[in-house]
Amino acid sequence: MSLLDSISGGNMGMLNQMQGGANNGLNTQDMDFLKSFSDADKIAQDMGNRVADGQNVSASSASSTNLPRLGDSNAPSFGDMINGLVDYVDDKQQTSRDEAQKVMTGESDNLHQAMIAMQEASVSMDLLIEVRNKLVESYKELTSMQT
Amino acid sequence: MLDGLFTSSNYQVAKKLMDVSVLKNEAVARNIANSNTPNYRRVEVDSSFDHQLKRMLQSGDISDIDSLTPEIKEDSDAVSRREDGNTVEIDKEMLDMNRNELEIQFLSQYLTGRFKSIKGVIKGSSSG
Amino acid sequence: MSMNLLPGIESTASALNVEKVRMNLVAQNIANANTTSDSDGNVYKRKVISFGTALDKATGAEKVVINSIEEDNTPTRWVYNPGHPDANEEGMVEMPNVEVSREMVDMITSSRSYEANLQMVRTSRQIAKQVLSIGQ
Repeated sequence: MSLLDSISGGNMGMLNQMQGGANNGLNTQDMDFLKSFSDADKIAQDMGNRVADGQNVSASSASSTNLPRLGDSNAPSFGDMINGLVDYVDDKQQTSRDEAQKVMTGESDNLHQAMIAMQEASVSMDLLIEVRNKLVESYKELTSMQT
Repeated sequence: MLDGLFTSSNYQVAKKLMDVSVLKNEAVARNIANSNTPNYRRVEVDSSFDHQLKRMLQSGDISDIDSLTPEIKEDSDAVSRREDGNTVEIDKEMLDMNRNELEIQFLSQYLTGRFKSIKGVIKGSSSG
Repeated sequence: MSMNLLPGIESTASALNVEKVRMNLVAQNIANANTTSDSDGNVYKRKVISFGTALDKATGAEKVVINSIEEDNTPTRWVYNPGHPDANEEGMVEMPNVEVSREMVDMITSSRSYEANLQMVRTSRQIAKQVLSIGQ
């Protein structure tokens, strides 16, 4: 099962529904992003399969036609994607802290901005945690395949 | 990169509309407080902000949304119907007050709905 | 500075205070519309309140403030009423410069504003509750 399917709990249909229409739900950018995780998962599985078959695994042979090639300088590396996600979440957390502080000191009376910032931070964090969980699971699957 | 979660135009416009509504409420509060102050001129948030946000919603183009800074200004078109020069009409203010409250309620619930559904999709994972 | 979770509430609170004082003054005027002789032996003079907006320097909030409470100096009315205990030698009595109909109008305007401001307090609180439950 792909990572994307795992994250959505098999709710790909729901994700697609949310995506429906440019103004609704997740847009194509995040779909691509989430898909790239699933692609990376496929790569990992592919590598795992090859090892199981006794084949040599090299960067170029691990890729199939439509997946980003490992070592392809045009494709974002896995590490980059994770870093990007962590930075984003960190940024949201900081905004949330700042807004909350502004309300607490009375500097701002925009309660709604603080509440919204708190929610955005919380949701981003949830996503990061889930992604981490899935990655750990996939990693465990991968390593258990090699033994 | 994860920006996609919160950059949909509906969501961004809803956030801004909330800013506008909360500000409108403050304007109404000031007007009602000064409903009997001699020579007081009523204040409001210019309707152009609402119009611009509505256009953004329809076109889906929110590239300029950050440049929109709603503010409270004196209503220069208001005419005084009283001898004390005050331009506040209490009935209108009460109507605005009620409408703002509903707008804020709607926007809060819309935003809450967004947050919940995204969380739901994220956490919807059962067995991998 | 403390948390200000109800924007505009200072304006509202100050208005409630001012309108309340005004209503008391109007009530006093009406009650004394016929007081020809108070404890000092003088005819009652209408009390007038003057108020306006002021910016509270500490919080930056716009407030309604009382500028003064004074006696109205419009002339009192002299009425011919020789039977009145306070009538002078010509039978004229000095009556307070209070016009009850005008006071009633002020009372109505003031109490309408008071009620509207009270409603605003309720609405502000409702709005704050709504906002606080975003995401829940």
